[in-house]
Amino acid sequence: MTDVLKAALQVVGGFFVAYMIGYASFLFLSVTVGSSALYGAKRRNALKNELRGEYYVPVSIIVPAHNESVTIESTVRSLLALDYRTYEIIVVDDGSTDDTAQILRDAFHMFRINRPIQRRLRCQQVEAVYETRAWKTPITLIQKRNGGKADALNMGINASRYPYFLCMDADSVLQRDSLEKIVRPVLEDDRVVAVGGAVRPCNGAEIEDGAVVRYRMPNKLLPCMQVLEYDRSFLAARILFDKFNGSIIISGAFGLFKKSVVVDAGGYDTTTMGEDMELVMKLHVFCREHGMPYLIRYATDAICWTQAPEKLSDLCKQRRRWHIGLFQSMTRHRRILSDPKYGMVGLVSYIYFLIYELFSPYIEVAGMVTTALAMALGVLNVSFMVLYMGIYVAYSSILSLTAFFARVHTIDLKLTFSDVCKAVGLCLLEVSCLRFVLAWVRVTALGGGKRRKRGWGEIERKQIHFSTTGAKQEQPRQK
Amino acid sequence: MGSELLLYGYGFVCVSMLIFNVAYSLSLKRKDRRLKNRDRRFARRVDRQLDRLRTGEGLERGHLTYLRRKLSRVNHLAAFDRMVMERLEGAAEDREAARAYQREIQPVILHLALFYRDREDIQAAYFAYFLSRHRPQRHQAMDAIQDVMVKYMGKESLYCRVNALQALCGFGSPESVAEAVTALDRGGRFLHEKVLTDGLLSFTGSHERLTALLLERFDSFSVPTRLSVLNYIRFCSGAYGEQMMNILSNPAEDKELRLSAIRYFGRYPMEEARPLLLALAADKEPTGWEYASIAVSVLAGYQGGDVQDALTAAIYSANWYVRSNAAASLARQGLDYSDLISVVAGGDRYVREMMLYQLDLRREQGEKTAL
Repeated sequence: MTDVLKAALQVVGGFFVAYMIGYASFLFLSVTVGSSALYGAKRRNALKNELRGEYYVPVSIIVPAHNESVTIESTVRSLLALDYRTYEIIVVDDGSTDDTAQILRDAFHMFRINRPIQRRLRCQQVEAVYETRAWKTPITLIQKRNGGKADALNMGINASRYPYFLCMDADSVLQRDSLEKIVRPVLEDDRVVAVGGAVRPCNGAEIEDGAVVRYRMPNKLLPCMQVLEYDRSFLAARILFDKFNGSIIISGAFGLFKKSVVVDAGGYDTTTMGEDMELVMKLHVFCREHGMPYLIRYATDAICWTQAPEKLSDLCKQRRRWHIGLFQSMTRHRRILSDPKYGMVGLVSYIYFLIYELFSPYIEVAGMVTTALAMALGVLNVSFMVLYMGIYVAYSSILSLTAFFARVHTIDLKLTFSDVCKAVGLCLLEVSCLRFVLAWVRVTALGGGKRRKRGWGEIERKQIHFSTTGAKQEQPRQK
Repeated sequence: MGSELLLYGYGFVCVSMLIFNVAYSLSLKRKDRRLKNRDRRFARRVDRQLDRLRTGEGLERGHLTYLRRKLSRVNHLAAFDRMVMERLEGAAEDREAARAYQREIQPVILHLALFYRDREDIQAAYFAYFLSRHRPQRHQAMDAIQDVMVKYMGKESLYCRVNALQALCGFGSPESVAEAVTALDRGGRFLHEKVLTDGLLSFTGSHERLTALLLERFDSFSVPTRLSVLNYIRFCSGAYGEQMMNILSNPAEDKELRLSAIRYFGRYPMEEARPLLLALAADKEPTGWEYASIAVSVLAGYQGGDVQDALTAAIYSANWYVRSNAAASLARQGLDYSDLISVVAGGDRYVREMMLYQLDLRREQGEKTAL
């Protein structure tokens, strides 16, 4: 029996070695490519190889909201501060039980109006529509029956006037130039049907008049670790996938889409929790099935600041929701893996997400269990194991820090010495501890999936530090 | 043993990356300091020349040679650009001296135009940008440089083409810009129609002359270029009704071009276009909905009973966009609830809602204006 177990453990050990080689190689490649792309973009911008702000396409910004009374006003104010010529703001209140809608109506002097909305995408019923044209750009508030985020986004698409729409979260703020930068890929290539932006935790950032005036690493442990994690995944993996049109996720917090293609593809799926990923995969499927030349791009310099959960319970809720969404999207579009027509999207992107995102928590937890079993059987090479873990932690940490500093250098952020030490220290903690905690959370995620299908995931919100100075404050227009 | 080797291999990669990160951060800091020193030295040298120009002396001997050498490195060119622009935005006497300095260094700029033409696209694009900010004044120099810029239209880099187009538009020569548009079109590379239209709108010379030249070559352009030209004309002048009528009344013409022509008659209402617009607005063919929708929107700028009848009929269209635009146009015509009683009290709920929405919106905006 012991011999059998030992043999089994050897096989398992071999599997883990292959798994870690694959992950380490991917991480190395993605961070190298990502950092190189960032530095290249910085050089191009410095040498004015860019389309400057004079060019634009009209955009509808859709902000689905559910119980966002704490942050919604800051979010809309940040949108009013955008440096962009033609856009509109549509907030879709998805059956909030707090005073999200009242806050908006009062802050922006909105009036109720019976606005006909063409229902090209199915969604829950409208209860009331409010508008105002007194500000720099029209703002519409649609109060509707609760149907979930995807449902709210579909409503926003139905109500939108312009050929492109931007979806963003109600607890996020944009910089002045975020819209201009996320639109650029559309102006550079007419095949672009979707563009993802870079999402960063705003815990620790102070934003004034649409620009970051002060940036510190967040004070609290958890958001600090998430800063490093976001940099690793956004700046590394997404840039790499962008190189071969292989992005299969655009964050729901900040993504630009060509409306006609999304409508033709059926809009957001209201039956999944990961509606952002599901839409992008659906676009790949739709465009390839219809033989449409298309590109899904990533704009590294289009930045959206969002709130990272500060409590572990909130973080766990968020990651559970993400993992359920990932599972639903991957299973719904599994043909991407088996059909050669999907090329690198299936061969690289899908397989990466399948093994290193969807299955990885199970593999990692199984790894821990196996290690414990091996130790109990006395077959574990403890010194080797310690060396292995040490190098794994160092390797992942250094790659995370490389991505983090690449971002810092390329956008000329100034960090204090204490922030640098925090980044280094917490990187080690994130890789060695938080990762395994979240792996366990994701392992348990799929159990309660059905119950949480249409929920928004209630997470505690904090007020966002977004201010406008007296000179630039958006006021109602005086005609 | 193999596993250990693998681990040590990854350990080596870790250490290498760590060393790389630290070394790169240190080298960035050193580079910043070095660049600041370089910029200071450069600025001192240029300021010396500005002082000489202020006192009526010419440039130092060898200064032009010095600039030719230095500015052939694009980072130095960027530093030079910043420096000169700072002085151009400074006090009045600094600005005068800086302008005089720009005139004196024109031979260098001509030399650089030829030099950067053969460099990598990222550098060539920067030079085109630099040129748009430091345009030569003398006619001969301008011609030579514009010829070089027109050649940039054949480059693969989008930014090269866009920056070169902007530089050419800044020069103000309609012939060169028309040549550039032709070269762009022949190159067959994608340039978003808004980018080309907005580029043409930034032209600093005679728009009338440029339009004439572009219209001469119009038929040889591809559809996207023709669309950009039509959109440019629309934002420039109302004197091209005849040309627009020819496009609009030709059913074989590309749809986007005809729609652009319709929009032209929205910006510049013309009686000659009225019958055609009314006919398009009344077209109930499902395939003609885009024409109908834009025509109905444009008719808001035309007065008369026939227009109101056409809009009132269009508001019952099966197409949502036609209905919506018809309602908006009726509201913009200044009609009120009593004028539209047949619509707002009619049996069609969707039409009623559409019209009431537009009228309520107009009322709210009117109340805000009154306040």
